[in-house]
Amino acid sequence: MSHARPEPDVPSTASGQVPTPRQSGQGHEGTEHLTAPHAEPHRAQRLPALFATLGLALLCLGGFVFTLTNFFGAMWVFPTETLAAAVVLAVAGVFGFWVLRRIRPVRPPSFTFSLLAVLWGLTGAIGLSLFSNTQLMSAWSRLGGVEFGSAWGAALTAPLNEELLKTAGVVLIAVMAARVVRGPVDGFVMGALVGLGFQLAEDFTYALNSIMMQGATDGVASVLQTLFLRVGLTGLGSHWAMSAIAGTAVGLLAASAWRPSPGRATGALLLFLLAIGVHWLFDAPLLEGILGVLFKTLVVFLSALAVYFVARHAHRRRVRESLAEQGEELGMLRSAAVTLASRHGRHRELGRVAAPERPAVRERQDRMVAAAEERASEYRV
Amino acid sequence: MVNESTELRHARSRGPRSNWVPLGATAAVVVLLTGGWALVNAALPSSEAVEPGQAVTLGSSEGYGASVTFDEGWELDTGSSTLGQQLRFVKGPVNLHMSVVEPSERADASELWDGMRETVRVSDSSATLGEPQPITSDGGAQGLTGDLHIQEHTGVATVFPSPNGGFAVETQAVGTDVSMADLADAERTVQSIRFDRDTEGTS
Repeated sequence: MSHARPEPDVPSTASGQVPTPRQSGQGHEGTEHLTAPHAEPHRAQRLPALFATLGLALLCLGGFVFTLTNFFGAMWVFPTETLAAAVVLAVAGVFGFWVLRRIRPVRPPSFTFSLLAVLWGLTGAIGLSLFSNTQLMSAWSRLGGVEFGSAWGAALTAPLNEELLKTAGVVLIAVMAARVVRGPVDGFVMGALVGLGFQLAEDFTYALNSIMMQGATDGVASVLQTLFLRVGLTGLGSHWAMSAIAGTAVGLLAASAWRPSPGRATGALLLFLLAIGVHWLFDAPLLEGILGVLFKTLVVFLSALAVYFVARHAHRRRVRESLAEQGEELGMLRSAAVTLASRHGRHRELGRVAAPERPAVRERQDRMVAAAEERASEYRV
Repeated sequence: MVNESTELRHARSRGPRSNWVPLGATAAVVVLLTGGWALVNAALPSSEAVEPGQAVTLGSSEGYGASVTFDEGWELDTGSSTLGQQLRFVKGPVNLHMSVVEPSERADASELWDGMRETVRVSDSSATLGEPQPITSDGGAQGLTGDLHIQEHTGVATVFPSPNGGFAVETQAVGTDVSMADLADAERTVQSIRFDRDTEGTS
């Protein structure tokens, strides 16, 4: 009995290319090469992509120079403390980078664009935020008085400025490389990586500032104490989580070719407002004290977790459906095709073939999964 | 599942993206958040007069609060000030910067002075503090004071630890072309710093 079903009414990929049908249903045989879809960007996208690349490069450079100018004095005067902060944050950064890339379902995101996302947070977003936050916080104090500005300035400034500026990086990446941000899951991961870079830079500046705020009597202790609080205690609910939520909104818009339906636009707006809202809660002078801070951290983390699981579920469902379609076209068993949606499933399938065949099978798995994700991104939510 | 799959199969292709729109929106956001806030901030008054004779709270910690009293003519630079951290006051050519520091472990005036030797170099690597002299404020607080040389200007720096050593007030009075009378005015203000039992608890 054939498991094949009729061809889709419209091509599932823009190029209409699908893997060549195999001769048997195990999913491991054959030597055909499956063509990765959308290898070339659309011609109309090239100019915006070029501008986005130039813009991102200039803003990263400008942000880096501005941040360095602001903190070079402290780095020069406190080299040991600077080194201590850099080492701790480098370790945290590598771990965070690995985890945040690992949580993308189906396949990890592009390594190059993952690095670029972190770089944006680390340089462009932080530099622009330092400047715009200084201006707006000063404006709040001038407008409402020092008492008001000291209490509410951060909560009325950082959520708006920082979430917008961090998210700008996700948008620029989506314009530079449409395939990197094709949907909510991509937006979540890219946003999280931007947030990670931003958090690392912000932690670094807070660590250096803490030396001066504690009178520079024991700089290394000040740095380690600050990093313990900001990485160890509140790290779970920090910028990576807020930006991941905002990035998901970008993914929603990108998935609709920046022409969202009213429902999707509302969803994206609500997600962005959620990111701003949890950031506001974190910065507001409410629920102060260690328990309050832990509660706020948990709220931010759980919000990001909820958004992640919804986006992950939808993405995996569409990829599995797409793999099932491909499997039928190739004459594979549905179960054998669908299992390729997970890293574990692909690994298990590889284990069933003879060692000499594994490189070729792995390559075909990669191509099938790439094609499935491309098809899945074409589907409506 | 079958219905869902059928629905997916009939999904429409979305066509090419209009990437100029997100790019333009991003550029607008960056310009508005940097240039826009800078314009708003510049349009607002930068300082407010400090009422003469009224105590201004600098900060509090571990049961003590620090305050200072000003003569006539001083203004608070509101945009550069944050309660409990740093306050910047201006009178003519003199800038009086007061900051509240909270050492991770209790520190005496000498340790805090050594720390301030480092922190003054952050804004100007050639800045130096002279040898400190003991100082007692009008309210009886014991501290250290000495010359401050920063960016070719001479000023006065002072540190007053709180009575229980939980925090300290550090001051720096500097300015361009300041006279000894201007600095003496700033020193009188610094001399008025006092620590009182905080009736509202700790912060």
